Amino acid sequence: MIEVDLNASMRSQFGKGAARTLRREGLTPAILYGMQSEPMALKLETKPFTQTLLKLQRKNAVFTLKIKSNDDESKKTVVLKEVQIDPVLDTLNHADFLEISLDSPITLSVQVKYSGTAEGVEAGGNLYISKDKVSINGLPMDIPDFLEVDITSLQLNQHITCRDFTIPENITLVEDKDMVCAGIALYTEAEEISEEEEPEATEEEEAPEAEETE
Amino acid sequence: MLSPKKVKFRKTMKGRMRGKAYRGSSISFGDYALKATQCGFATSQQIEAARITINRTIKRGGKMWIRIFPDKPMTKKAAETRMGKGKGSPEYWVAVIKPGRVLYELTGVDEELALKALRLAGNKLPFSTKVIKKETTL
Repeated sequence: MIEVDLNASMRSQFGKGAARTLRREGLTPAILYGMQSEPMALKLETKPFTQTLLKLQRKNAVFTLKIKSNDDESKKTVVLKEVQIDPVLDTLNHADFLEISLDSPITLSVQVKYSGTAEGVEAGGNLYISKDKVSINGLPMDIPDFLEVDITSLQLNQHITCRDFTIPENITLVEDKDMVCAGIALYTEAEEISEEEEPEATEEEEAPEAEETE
Repeated sequence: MLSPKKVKFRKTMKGRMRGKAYRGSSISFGDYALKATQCGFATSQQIEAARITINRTIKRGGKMWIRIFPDKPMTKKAAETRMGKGKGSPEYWVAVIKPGRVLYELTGVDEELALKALRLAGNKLPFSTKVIKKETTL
């Protein structure tokens, strides 16, 4: 797993107003919890934190947080539990960090990458992916960035389940083993009506198409 | 044009569009997307017009996803009708759009063309939009 260093400092003011003031000053409010310790309210500089997250591209990472309090500086090993993002501005609102120990196993969600072109696709089928992330349990540094699954041998109307994944011995898959993850199916595409041929439906006809069931 | 096949109730109340769209606000399938920055109603005609614009701009290749669906019926009283006598009849369908909602997603086309297609599609909609890229969004 990727290792990243981040700087943070303790936060003494809480609530909506204080958080908004922080955001205006270019800081992001955050919280750190876990390992049976008291939660710590933190603040991070938004710009470097955003750049780090963009570099990671939603991959898992172990962060080493250097936390500055009044006089002393402490280091914590954490993972990013949750990030709140403003949906309109696409800026950071808040971050949750979970303190972990590198010696104890954790469960994380890992991306699945399906590699190769399936034989069924070459025969005219379509690849459908129903699971692109799986939960994996293991020591933080053993958890891979992504799981690569080879699908070249998949024939038409065949599927691949979590049981078929090749997983290193030191990690375990926390999923239903029989869950279908991807497969090849033959779709029959509906004929697309070209714009010129499309009949001009009158406004009166359009709405009542939907029937009331009750 | 998009419309529901079956509905539980033929007419709905007008409702309010408060807050931002937290669901459906991130890119899920493609590499580029059109995002609403204001609230409003997108009618099925407008959704279709924007779709056609994207398809005409990218010509061939690429894949597009429409992330919204017009599931709210809008009623209208007939012309020259006096007030009263109940609610009008359903006329068209709209999708309720809140700021932050991803409307269309696009992949498999080069960046310049994708951004152009989405910008032109945004012009067909009755609220302000912006084009976003997967690599530059959190």
